[in-house]
Amino acid sequence: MLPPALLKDAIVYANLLLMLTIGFTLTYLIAKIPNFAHGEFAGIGIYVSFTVVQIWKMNPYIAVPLAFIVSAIIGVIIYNGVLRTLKKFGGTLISLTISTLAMQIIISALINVYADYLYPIAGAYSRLFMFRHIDFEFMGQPGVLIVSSLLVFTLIIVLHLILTKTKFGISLRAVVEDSDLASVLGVNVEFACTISWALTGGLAGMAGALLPLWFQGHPYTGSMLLTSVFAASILGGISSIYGAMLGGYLIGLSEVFGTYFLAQTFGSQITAYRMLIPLIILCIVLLLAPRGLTGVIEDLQAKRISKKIVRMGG
Amino acid sequence: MIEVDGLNAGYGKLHILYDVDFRVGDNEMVTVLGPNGSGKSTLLKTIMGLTTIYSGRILFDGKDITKLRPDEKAKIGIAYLPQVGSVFTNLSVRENMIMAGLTVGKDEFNDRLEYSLSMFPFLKGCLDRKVKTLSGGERQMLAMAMALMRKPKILMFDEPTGNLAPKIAMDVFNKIIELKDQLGIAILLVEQNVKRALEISDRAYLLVSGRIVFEGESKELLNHPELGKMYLGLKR
Amino acid sequence: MFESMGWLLDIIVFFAVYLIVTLALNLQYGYTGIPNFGLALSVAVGAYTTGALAGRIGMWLCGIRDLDYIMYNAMITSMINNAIKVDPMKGLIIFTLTILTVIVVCAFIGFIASYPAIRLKADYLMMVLIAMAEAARIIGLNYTPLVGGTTWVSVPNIFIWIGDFASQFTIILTLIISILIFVFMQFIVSSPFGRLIKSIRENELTAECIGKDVVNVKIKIMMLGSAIAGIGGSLWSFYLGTVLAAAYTRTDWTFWPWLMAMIGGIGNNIGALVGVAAVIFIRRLIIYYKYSIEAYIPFSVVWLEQLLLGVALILVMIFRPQGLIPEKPKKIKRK
Repeated sequence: MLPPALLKDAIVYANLLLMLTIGFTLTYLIAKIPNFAHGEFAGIGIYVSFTVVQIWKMNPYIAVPLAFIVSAIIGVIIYNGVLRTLKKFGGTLISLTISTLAMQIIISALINVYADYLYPIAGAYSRLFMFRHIDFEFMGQPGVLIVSSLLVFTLIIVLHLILTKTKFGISLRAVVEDSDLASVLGVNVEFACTISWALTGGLAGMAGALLPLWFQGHPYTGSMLLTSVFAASILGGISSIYGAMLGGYLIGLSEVFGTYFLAQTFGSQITAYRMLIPLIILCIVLLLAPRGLTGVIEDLQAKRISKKIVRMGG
Repeated sequence: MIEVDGLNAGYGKLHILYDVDFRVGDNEMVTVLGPNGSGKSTLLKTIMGLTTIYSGRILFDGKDITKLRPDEKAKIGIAYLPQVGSVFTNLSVRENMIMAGLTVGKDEFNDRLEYSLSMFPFLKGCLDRKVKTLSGGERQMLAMAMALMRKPKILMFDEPTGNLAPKIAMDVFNKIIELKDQLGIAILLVEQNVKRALEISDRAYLLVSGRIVFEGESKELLNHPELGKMYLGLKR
Repeated sequence: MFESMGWLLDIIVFFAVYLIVTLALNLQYGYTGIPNFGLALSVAVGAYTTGALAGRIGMWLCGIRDLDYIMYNAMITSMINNAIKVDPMKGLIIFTLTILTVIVVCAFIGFIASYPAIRLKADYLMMVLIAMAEAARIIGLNYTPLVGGTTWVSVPNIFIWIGDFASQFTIILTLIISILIFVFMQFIVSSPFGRLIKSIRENELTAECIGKDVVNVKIKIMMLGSAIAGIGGSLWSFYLGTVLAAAYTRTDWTFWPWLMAMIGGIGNNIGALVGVAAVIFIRRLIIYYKYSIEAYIPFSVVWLEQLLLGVALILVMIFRPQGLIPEKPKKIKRK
């Protein structure tokens, strides 16, 4: 049987990865480009957490809504400040993508500057830290496990309801499919995009704020998570938010369980190579089924329909 | 109702429309004809605000709407049905109608939905089906039903019968006439089917290489001996 | 006098190595339209191969056995250097064999890294390449037998027989190789193959319709570019005399070359030259005046450089995406 600590590792990690992947897929659908700065939203969340705990000496969970707000604002700045400006000057999709990379460099540098700045003030080492020991326990389980799981559960339900039952959600899906048509029908596309970027940043920020409660936080944690987010997004199918949820969880679990089993077989030094797992899964998915699980399901449905038509003599 | 003065527009640096003067009156059906690439679609998109305007004005009921966003134009009563991408294929019929009725208040929404569906009764049976399962003609009808949700003052069609079989095209044309007569709205029709378009419309414009080369009564253009030459740009 | 010479030679070798790497990027993105954000992968593999191989070839040439290459690296390297002092031929053999292996290995890496996504949208390729560059660094950092993991390995000094000017000779050799590569690049882009890759950049679909196997060409370009960038990494290692796995970051070896290519002008080898020169010059200035700068800003110059890099990239793309030296369309000779 699997050790309970491993299970907790896997669930917490998968929860956080799911939150990150949903945001990444969302901006990909809305902006049609991968946001390479996505990991840095989480990085911001990590350092909001450090600030709350080591500078303000408050409960780490206060960082969660705070990180949501800060990262959401950064997301809005990226969209309205950088991407829209670039588009106005005639930016192509490639140059928009490059600008997200530039934003990754900038935000990463700022996080590093901030971490350096905090160190003397906090009196605690700001470039590598963990808050697992100050987490609360409920019924024998660590707080972050409960909070992250509840958060994910609520997120999935709320997102589903918004996307299918509210005008805003349906408008969002419409903008994703055809933003010109949506605009013509009365959707303020810029506003929908702004909200999406805020949401993406916010979700990633929250994931980052929760992260140090179980894992180590350092300035590069955000960018190191990016490969796993890519893999999760593509595994699930980059055209679907539900795919992102599924992919996030699958990659999260495979990373943790995979590393564990490999360590059993090859020794513990293998754990350093952990990010190779999502990378290999990414390559396999791209080779065999680039549209991810969503694509596979759609293909199966199409086959079923075409079989029906054939049987009907059509 | 819609008046366009000295309009110069295009896509980015690509100049398509040159000094276009153009007019659609209330409850008129005006058709814009011309060879491929002459800028007919661009004219509609420009009125809607989807292109770059270099100079000129667009007036709606006397008010200057040149700088409005497309969604703002939708809200004041201009309905645009593009040639492709007039419906959301990944959404259900009902969700498409919700999108169409975005600018309508909550109470009115149900009334308008009833009303739209009454003009297109077949839609009642497939409200929850994804639009990608509908045929080309059905999608075109859905697009029109969606347009009606906004009680528009003018409907702008970009080649509505483009990909349709002749019989379905007839159904669509008849529906357009029905909308004009029953609802009293203005219609701006861009069409490749010259004869049919001239038969059902009141006035016509001929757009060649981005310039208006003819403006007049449709019947006049239909019987014009030089129509063919003008269409091909050989004679002004 | 020799001090400023030293500074100048320092700039020259930076310039030469970055020129090689940026030319490789220009080939892939500027001419063929494949955005390679995993450039550091090729440079790192070139460096790691050098670190792992040069010394071991030296060991074999000098008959050194029964010593672990990593554990006794310092001792082994000085033994090899002494042997080269006496017999320069050994240095030449080490260098040539290493470079040839680097070319083959990096071309292979270029193939593997691009294969999964080369048929798909550029977005997927970008994601895979970035991830692979990170993976290479992680392998280099953790697989100790390669280049010593978190410590480093030394690279034999192939010009040590020259005595005091060994370093200068290495620099000159690097510069010569970079010029040769520049000439080679110019040759490629003005050949029919060059026209082919440009047509792929402009419109892949059309290129396919006229019967060109676009995927095949793209893979070849990735392999060639990777090999060239690998040469850059290898020469850099020979100059430094060490290979430190952690140093092959994406900031240093992917993003800076991108800025150089964009500032100079993409799709244009001369542009690459100008871009590299301009950026290297500014970076050297920043390092030189590091202490005066740090008096004004409350943080390390390292972060300042990165901020400037990011901001510069965005500004270039907004205001002058074609770079300082725009690509000129080829004039067609009238008959």
